Amino acid sequence: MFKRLELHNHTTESDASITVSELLDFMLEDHVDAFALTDHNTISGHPKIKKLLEENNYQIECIPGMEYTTYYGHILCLNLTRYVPWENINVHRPELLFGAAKAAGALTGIAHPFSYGAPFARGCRFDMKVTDYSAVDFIEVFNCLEPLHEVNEPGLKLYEDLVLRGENLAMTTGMDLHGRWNMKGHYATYVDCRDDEPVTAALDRAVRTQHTFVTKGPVFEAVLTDVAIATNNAEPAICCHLHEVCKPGFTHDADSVWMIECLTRNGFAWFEAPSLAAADFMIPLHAIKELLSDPGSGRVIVKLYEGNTGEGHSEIERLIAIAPTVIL
Amino acid sequence: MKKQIYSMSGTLSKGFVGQIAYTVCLDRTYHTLDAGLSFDKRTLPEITQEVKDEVRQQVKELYGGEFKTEEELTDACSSMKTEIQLLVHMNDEFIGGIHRQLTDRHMIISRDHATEGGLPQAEISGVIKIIVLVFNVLQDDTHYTVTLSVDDEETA
Repeated sequence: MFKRLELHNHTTESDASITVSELLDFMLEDHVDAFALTDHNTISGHPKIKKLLEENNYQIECIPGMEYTTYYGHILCLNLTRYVPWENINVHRPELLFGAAKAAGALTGIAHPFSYGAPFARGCRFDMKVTDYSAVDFIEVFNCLEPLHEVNEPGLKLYEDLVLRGENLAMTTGMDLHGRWNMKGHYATYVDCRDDEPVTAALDRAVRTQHTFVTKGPVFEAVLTDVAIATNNAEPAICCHLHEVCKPGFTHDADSVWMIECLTRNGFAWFEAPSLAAADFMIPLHAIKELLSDPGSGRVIVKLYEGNTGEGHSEIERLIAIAPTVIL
Repeated sequence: MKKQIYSMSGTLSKGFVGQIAYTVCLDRTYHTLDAGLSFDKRTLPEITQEVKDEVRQQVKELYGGEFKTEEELTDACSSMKTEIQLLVHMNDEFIGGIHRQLTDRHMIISRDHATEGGLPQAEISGVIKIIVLVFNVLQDDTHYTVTLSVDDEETA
């Protein structure tokens, strides 16, 4: 079962305008399945949200977390249940802090890597030099508070470049909520939960296997499969599938086509998939063989767009969803 | 009765980034702790040409960008703030932090209560470390003061 997660939220425990209780109410009203509590440099909201959830029979879960708000970048920690000191942060060796948080059982990621920092908001831009990306679990590819082109587009490109060069990174999104903001039209993160599995466990599994789904509409998946081309003969293909689960409020113009982009280290290819809503769309690997010609180019990032280019919107404005990376 | 057992002041230079920690060993067990931090010169008194030139240069170097109008540049300069935050540890364990745009703040912690950002503690005893987190200092001679008060009674 796919669950929608909102993974970046603040309360009055740090600098937001809503209390822990109000955040919970807000998430319930928006039909979120689970949300993270990621206040700046404090975990003081954790016992409060735990008490609220224990006292009420809400159909929502909370992911304990924190946003390490350092002088040189913000590090989002999810499934963090105890405070890990960060004050000795070393701009040249951020792996030390990532590692310490991971040792405490947390998932660690880079939040809004290309936000504007100094001289206006020191620390908001990720200025640390990561040498070993195995210390990092995920990158927040869309921070819905930030401008699309100036901040999120380079953030997504950073994720894509790292993944395509072989780094095992998951992608997440977050509202960076500091108040009762409208979440309609923004990206959310989905994970596939097993029956009766706590969402914290599902998130852990999804991030560690790079199996998170990012979308502002339907959950979009692309998997490697075999497609029959003749009797007793088959060839590998990427099967693109739209799940029935869709972020509330999303509407798709029936006249607008679905476009699929396959991105590899060597370039990209576009496919029009008019029937995608009704049936899976297959992309035989031979159709992108030139993109897979180099050794080490065995990863494909598959993205779903609405409408054609040249309709007045740039590519990223038409981007609807990103599937977990296909590894060939 | 609430008593202030520690008060320390310091001066920061423009551009300083990092933390300053103050450590206090309590003489006995208390019920309530109040850690305070205040500072001055949060904003620039005047947006001078020198400030504008400096910001314009920084934005160009860091982001490759330029301001479209003089008004945009002035607004950006006016939005800059000195930012200093507070963390409190007890016996090397985190017990609270205040991360807000304030020039005067207090973290009050007792057995049953803590101000937002803090965690209630069964007792206040041992070694208290107050960490001043300096993110941005706009002006030279920016003064800050750290205080630590304790109480035998619930005060929150």
